[in-house]
Amino acid sequence: MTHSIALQFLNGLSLAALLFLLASGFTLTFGLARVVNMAHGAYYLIGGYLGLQVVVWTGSFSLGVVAGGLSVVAINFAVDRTLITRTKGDPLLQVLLTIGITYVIAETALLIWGGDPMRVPQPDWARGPVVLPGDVFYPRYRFLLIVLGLAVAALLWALYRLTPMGAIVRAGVDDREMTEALGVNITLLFTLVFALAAFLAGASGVLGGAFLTLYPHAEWDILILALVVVIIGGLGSIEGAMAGSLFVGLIDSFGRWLLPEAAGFMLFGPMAVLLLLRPQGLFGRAH
Amino acid sequence: MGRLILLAAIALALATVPMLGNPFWVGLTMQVLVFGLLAVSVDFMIRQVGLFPLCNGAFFAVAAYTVAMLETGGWPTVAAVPAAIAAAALMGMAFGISVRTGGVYFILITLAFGQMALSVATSWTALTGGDNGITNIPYPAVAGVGPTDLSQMFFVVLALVGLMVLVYARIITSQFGLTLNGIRDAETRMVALGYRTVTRKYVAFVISSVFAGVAGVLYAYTNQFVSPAAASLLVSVEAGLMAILGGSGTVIGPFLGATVIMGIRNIVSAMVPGWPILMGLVFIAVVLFLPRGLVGLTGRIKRARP
Amino acid sequence: MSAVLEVSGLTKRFGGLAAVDDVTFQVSPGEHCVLLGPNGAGKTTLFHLITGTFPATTGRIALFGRDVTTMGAAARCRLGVGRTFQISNVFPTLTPVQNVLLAMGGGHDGGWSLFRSGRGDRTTRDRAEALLERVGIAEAAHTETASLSYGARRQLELALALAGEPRAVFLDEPCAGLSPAERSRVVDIIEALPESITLVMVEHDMDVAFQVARRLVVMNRGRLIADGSPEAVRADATVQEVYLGAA
Repeated sequence: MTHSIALQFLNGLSLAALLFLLASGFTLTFGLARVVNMAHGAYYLIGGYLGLQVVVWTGSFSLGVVAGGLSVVAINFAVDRTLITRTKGDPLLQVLLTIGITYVIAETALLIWGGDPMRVPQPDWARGPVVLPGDVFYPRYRFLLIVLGLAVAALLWALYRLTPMGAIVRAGVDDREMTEALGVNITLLFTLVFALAAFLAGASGVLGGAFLTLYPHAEWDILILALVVVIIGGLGSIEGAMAGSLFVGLIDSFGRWLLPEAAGFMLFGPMAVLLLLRPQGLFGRAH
Repeated sequence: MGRLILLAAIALALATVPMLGNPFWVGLTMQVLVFGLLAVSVDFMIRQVGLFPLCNGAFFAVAAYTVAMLETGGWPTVAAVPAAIAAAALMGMAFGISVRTGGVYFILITLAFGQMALSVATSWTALTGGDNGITNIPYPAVAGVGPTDLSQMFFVVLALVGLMVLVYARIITSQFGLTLNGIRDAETRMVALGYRTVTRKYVAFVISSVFAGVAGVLYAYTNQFVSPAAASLLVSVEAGLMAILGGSGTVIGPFLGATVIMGIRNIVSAMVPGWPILMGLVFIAVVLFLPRGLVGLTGRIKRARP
Repeated sequence: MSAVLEVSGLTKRFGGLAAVDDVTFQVSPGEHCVLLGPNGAGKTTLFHLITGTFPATTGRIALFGRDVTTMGAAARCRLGVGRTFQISNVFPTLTPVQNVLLAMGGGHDGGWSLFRSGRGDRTTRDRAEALLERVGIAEAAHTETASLSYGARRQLELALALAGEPRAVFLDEPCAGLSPAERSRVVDIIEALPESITLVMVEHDMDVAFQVARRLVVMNRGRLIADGSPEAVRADATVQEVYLGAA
């Protein structure tokens, strides 16, 4: 029993790590540029498939992760410059547009890679179990993912809170006009943050594809979880993305274990409570 | 008055569809009517209240599943239909707390809520039949009287959708509708006038869920089969597209949008593989070229005339 | 009869800055009270605190003898307050008549019927049109509000404040940005308000303030520096120093 609880806890943490990678990009993009990019789910999917292809060709998992991330950086750059800029900041149009992009990307992936679930092969160095205190055997890959998630979270947090660039991003989240008035090169900053967000989304597809598999509709499944993370944490907040990921990862994991029929619905309760008490999310600003 | 005549003319024109004698077109027209009504429920929130919900597919699905379960479980239509609409309304009351937010938050929250509800359709197999869905839903019958074939069913759907459209037109021009327009235009002003705006948005949300529920009921009866395909989040998303594509808050707009989308789903899909790419391109094209919708387009053409 | 408005020890801090600093005053029924002060004096912040746009840091506000310090903006308005906004806040896609119809129903949170027409009945519509006549935009009553001139929208703004038959009206610089002709029209409307309606108005234009006010409350840097009849305030040395002195 305690073993099962420990396992579910670890499962929750590893899902949280994955969700954080995806949601932190989404939330930063929104916070800084007020862009709602629903294509993050599709980025996850296409990054995963492209990374899978690279892993198959080169045999290197790390190369696959980087390739998945970089290819999505390129895709997002094109999408942003040609399409998203033309929505002129209207969130309804951004949502529709990026949903359309999701359709196109996901269907293209289906035509190329087919409808059967595919798993990104895990690297040799991450195979097998780790033995954790208390004789808990846990898959080494998912354990390493937790470590990676923590590392990326720490890195992003340090970038966000401790560096001058992070200070500008935070200022931009609070008050965009003020940042522009400071004479900061906002275009360059946006490009960098968009690239970072896209890289995280694409890389998370490869990382997630190695244990959740890639399949048609995975883009929506993962997007919804990432959205719940952002809603709970508060749009635009990196700390919110951390807290939200932990929350969603753990609830999803224990929900699937305790009440598989309604696991998907388990998140409704906490979201409803949050809406009643703090509609802007745990770390969000009143709007 | 002119509008009423136009609506009557459209209804009359549609009434000739069964005379073509091709069940494909009868079925497709019914689908357009049913999904058009769903799009009306979304359009109501977008144009009258100024909120963009992405969960109306969940109300649609819960009503469709409720009818399917109850009708196949031996319930009479007069009990199954109110129960199904009540189920949609109850879900609307639960999800309605999302009106405490606005803008992007509202879009994201409703999308998440909708998907949570829909995930139950695939996971709770004992109740919903899982991927197999629920089959052999009979046509509706009241006191033993009801449609017995496709074209009779068509007239039932046409009459009920027509009735809902009339009710809808009444609601959006009502006192309550005017206060919703006030909220859409300037919520802070409505608050300063003394209105409880959040309560009003909540009521509007529940009304929207009822319209989506009625569409779901009609879907279950016309399709005679309900599966997770009806409970996909794509239903919510495409209903939103239908509403935007139709445009400009008229009653006709959502049905125009439904015609295009159902055309792609039912005609284009049979001709080319990868048709969802076309659907995606429609989303993109609407945003880039038709953000005011098809009805807005005719307005533009009219204005362009000398 | 209790005071219409009672403000005691009211303070609002934004970060370290006290935009409104320990302000206390009362407005009695039927008074025409103008809050005057240079830009940044804290009058608009005080106005927002009174109307409930945001909560006070400390202090107490009462309307018609009821403590409203923690009450929301809508509930305060339902007590019988009509207000305007400094930047016109009207319903752009509706007609002025519809604007006024909405304003008439707000005081009792009305307009719940799903089936009764939003156009209102004959008498209600007549009342709405009469009000638009009074503020001078009757000829535009049925056009889209967004197409009205800036001045006409300011006049509509005033109509919205008056439509709910309020016991008190709170006006936030109703003449800002108006032409001299429009300005005198608005001043006329305000001066013609019945004795039963209490007026609290924020203004930084001295001509308008002295014309309308029967009592002036002068603010500077978040504090009240003078309070009295226009003549008394005009003679006040502190006011002359911080406000009139420059002119």
